[in-house]
Amino acid sequence: MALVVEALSKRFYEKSRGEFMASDNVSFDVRDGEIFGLLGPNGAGKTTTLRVIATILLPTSGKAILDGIDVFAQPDKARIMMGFLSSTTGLYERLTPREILQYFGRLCGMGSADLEQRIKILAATLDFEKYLNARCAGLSQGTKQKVSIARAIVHNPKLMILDEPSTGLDVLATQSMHDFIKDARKEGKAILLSTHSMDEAEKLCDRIGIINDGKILAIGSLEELRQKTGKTKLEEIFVSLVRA
Amino acid sequence: MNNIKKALSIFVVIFLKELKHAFRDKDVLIYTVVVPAVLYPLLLVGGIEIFVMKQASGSRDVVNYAVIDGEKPKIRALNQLLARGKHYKLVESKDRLKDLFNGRIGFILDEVDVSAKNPRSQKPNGQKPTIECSTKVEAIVPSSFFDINKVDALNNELKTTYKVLLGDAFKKKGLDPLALEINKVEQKNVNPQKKELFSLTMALLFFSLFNVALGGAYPAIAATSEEFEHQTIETSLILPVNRWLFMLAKLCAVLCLALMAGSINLVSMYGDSSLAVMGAGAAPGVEVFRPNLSLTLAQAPLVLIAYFIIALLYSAIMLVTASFCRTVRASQQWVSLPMTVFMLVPFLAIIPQIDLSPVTDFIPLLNNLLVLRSLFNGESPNWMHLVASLQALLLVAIAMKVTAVMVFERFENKWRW
Repeated sequence: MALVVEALSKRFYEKSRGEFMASDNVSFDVRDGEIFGLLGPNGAGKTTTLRVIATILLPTSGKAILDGIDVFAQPDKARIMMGFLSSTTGLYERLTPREILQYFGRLCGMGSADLEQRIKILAATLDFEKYLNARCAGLSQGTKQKVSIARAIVHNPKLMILDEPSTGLDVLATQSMHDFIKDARKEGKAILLSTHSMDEAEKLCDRIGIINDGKILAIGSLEELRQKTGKTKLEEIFVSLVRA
Repeated sequence: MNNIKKALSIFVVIFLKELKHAFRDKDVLIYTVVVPAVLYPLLLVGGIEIFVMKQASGSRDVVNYAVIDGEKPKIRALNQLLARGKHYKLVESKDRLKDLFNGRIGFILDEVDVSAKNPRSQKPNGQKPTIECSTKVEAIVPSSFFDINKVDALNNELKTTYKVLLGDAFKKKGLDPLALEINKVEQKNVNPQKKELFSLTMALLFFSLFNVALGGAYPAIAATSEEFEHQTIETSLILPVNRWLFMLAKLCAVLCLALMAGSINLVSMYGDSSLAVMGAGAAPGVEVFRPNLSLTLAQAPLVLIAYFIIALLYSAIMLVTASFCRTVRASQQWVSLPMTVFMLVPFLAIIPQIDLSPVTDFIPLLNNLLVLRSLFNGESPNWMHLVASLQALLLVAIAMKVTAVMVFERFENKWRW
């Protein structure tokens, strides 16, 4: 088991909404060589859950164990083992993709030679070689997203956390993104992704966790969810679980 | 040892990235290089040109002056002569020295006994010296580059416009008109024991500190608010790097660019004013704009350390101010507040009456500027300098802690209940 999340909760307070649970007692696990999808509508708590696991936000309660390491107790050790792709590209606009990858690679402890090799491979795989030395401000949304993915996995992490990875991408870019994620699965990476696209979840995920109002409503493969709800299409499964 | 090496290597990576990212921002480029190197020096050169033109046109302001004992013969004669013209006005003053330094009066005239000061002027046979050689008139002026030309102008006035009147008046009183050459006495401070000098070079040094703040403002915004606006903060938070190391690297990058702006400005202003003075030729009074840097080898490192500490404090204040804002635009508005303070405090620090004392030593910013002033003027380091410097370093540490909370911890704990 690569990642085990146990009873993870995150409480927020906002003036307009008062106190509310963005993640409420969330438990699931992600295995090596598996794509686990968190599927939920907007505001369901997907991003918050991923951010807490990625150590960007502190949890209110709960545990996350990554290959035997307590993520919240030893965040620096866990951070080296995970790559996080946020829903926004989050790139330094005045740096080039090469400089960004060098920066993140070096800070994750990579040596210069390995890093250069890794940058070459990632740029070739994600098809942004010709933009390696152009400033990020001038790149298209699709290329920025590709660079952002490369940044997240430049240090070859064991766990990839991808928050809505195909947001803002056209059909072709989405397809190449899906291919890349599938290839990573083949390499044995544990992949945790969030999406609100039924189509994407159906195509990519080995197991799906349906989340709404911060709570996990059901977890299982598509077949298991079908059996549980008696519905065939993921969309119908999702609606029946959320409305129930 | 390995940990230190690793930390140092991480520091260098973050520092270089911050430097590169900030320096590619055109706002940073404008305020770090263009404004300090071009705009302000041009304004100084323009000021010198206006001064030269004003001198050439002969237009002059009325100068107020006070006298010590107006009943003395030479002073009385001078008062009468100057009263006939329109450039000098005698005023009453209760505290002449204070009025001299706060600018209410331009100079103080005094008729002093030369024989007491110079025994050689005594007649050898013990006879009483004649009035012509026993007294002389002195004009006390502040030792400031603004006042360097005042006594020459006064003497010129007496030698030209009133030359005839002067001669007549003196001859009637049995005096030698040639004995009425006014001698210049520079008063260095309100406190006569203190050896301080208010030079153009020091004014340029203080002005360059404003450029330090200006040069640090935009890199500070790029290092904090821009991280939020472009949502790069999330990607920084998942890096396995100590938060303090992160903040230290950001501070050093801001400091580096701030110091660069200050140095560029200082060199440029120094060079341009020297060239402008050379270009103005023999224009009367233009010499006051000739900068003169006379630091000794022992003084220079102390002055540099004091300057560095101020730049460090300015950079930290810029960072902490910008860290409260989540957009670049908001930051640009907020940093104008410390910028105003950084612009006004040097004006206070250059006032001769304000001195480094046990009270001013505890006023942040002002104390560091006063330390710089006193070290620049050749004073030896003392405990007050140390207290002011330690206080500045403490403020930097507090500012960095607050910045770390605003940039990292507030994000991590955001809305935590």
